[in-house]
Amino acid sequence: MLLPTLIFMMPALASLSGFTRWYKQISIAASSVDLLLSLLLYKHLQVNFYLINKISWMFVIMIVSIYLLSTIYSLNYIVNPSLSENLYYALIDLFAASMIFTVMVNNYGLMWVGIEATTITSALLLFMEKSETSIEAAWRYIVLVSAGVAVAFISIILIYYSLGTLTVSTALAITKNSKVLALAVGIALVGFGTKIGVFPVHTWLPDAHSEAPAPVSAMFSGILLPTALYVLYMVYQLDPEMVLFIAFGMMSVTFASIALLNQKNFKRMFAYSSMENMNIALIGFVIGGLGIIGAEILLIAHAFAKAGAFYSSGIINRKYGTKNIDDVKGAQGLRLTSSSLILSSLAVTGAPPFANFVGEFLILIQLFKIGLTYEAMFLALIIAMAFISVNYNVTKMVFSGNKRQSDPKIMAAVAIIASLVPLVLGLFLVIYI
Amino acid sequence: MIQYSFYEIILMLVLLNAFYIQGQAYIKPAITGLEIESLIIGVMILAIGFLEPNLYLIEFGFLVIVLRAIAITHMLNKSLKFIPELKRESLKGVASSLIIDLFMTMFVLIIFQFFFISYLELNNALLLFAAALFFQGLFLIASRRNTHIQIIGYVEEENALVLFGLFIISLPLLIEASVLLDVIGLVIISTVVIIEKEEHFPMEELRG
Repeated sequence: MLLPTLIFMMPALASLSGFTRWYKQISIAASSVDLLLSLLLYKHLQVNFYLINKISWMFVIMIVSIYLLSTIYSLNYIVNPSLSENLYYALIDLFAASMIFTVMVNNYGLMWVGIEATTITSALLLFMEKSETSIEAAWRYIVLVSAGVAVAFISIILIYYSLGTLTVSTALAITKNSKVLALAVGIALVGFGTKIGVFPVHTWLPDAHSEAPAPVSAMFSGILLPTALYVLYMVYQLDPEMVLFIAFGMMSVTFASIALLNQKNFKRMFAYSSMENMNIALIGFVIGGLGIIGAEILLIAHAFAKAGAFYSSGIINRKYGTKNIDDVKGAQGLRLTSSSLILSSLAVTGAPPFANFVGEFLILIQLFKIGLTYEAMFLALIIAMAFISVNYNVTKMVFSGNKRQSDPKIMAAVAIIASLVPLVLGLFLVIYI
Repeated sequence: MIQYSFYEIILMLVLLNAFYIQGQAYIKPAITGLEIESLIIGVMILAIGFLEPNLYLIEFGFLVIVLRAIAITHMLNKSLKFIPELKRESLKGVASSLIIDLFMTMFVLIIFQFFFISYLELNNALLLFAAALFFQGLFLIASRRNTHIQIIGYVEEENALVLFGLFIISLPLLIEASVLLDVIGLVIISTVVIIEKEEHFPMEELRG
């Protein structure tokens, strides 16, 4: 019990450092120690107040890693004098703490509380830039996600009504088919699906991702969406409504890929790509077997790759003063940044040999295995469409001209590290498999 | 049976009050409407708590009154004084939105009658009122552009959740957590939004 408590409390306590002068150092130290503790957690898998199994452990590692990268990246990113830096770091810490709590806790009700808490902390982070668009995006985020989370609360009430418990491990051990439980799972798809980006309740996602500061966008896409996906998966297992979930997953991936065809803002483009990836992972979890392994690989690779993409986008936005794809010419002049942008774009679109490719490949294989051949072929086609859309735009931004510029050292280093993780992981998996 | 009818009358009042809120173009009366709604629900929970008797429900009813009927509405009223020109929302078609709301509520009542009572065999007709209030809150958010009104819609939704919890099964810790999160989170964030941006329209940067 002590180790998980420490892991969750570390960032929460670090948020208090906003009252001191060393808030940046304390946040980075807390996230670094947290990563070490999270690695140790593998030896202490447990079921008590917390539910730490291999899946939740993987989510903890993912959250803490991106939290660490974002705190380091933020060192040089925050230069806006109107922005309260200590508040920013305190909110990043609390945001991470609420996500860690959500994926570790062994209670559906407390998972819901954790998800609600992530909305509060992340909404305040969205306000940070205080532009008219960021405030509008933040408000849309609050209204839509709060409404979604309220719907999810009905699902929690119905689970308790049906099973008489909210303890995840106990509930999953009960085999009961009831109409109420089926309804609870269906409502959870709409409720938690709002936070994941399931069509048609995804509309906050591109707004929030595009208007948040780059390190926050990285956390949104890389770890917040998967945290909500984890909770939905836990609810889904109570009464697997496979057809319903696959149908919504497919619709969402299709919608995201179509939306990708016509994007002018590179941050919105990556936001839709997140929607696409999350729903592919959702399909993976739902179909079971190799699909679950594929979804896990895809999520962890996507977390780093998308963080890399948003970190690179942050630098480009800073250098060019625009988020418009057509206005960015010759980004190859920023050697490290453009490299990380290309690497991360290839990764998030599932190019081999990145780990994202391995994850998506396993999900497709499982779809074939369970006889969903047409769905698998359609999904492969849609993934290819998204691949072309994203990489065409990134190529245009990087190679249309060449004006040598200097990379901001720390930010570019963090971006390239994040982008290389899926490649290394992918090579390891290809050789290992 | 008498007690059940009493709840039905009270909840009917809550629904009528929700229609009243939907019909307001001026913000102050809408806030008063929310105050009344939260007060009715809080007092009802208190009354059930005393009748059963159930200490948790007494405490919970008290919490709903203090936080939703007093704290949130006080914050909304205070922000109105802060920006005096925002007394009225710049919108047209309040009457038509009221008619749509009425039809939607009837539709929700019919659908939920089928779902909760017939299909799921949740034999508590009071859930219908909770469902109707929930969708009225959602519709209020969707049909209006004013920050104050949208916050009122959200609190209306939360009030409906309290009723859901109350009539299906009580989840002490969880519902309290939701009430506290309302105040800590929503109220703080909403205050910031109210000060920074009072009305919300489509923006070119957020299209596509």
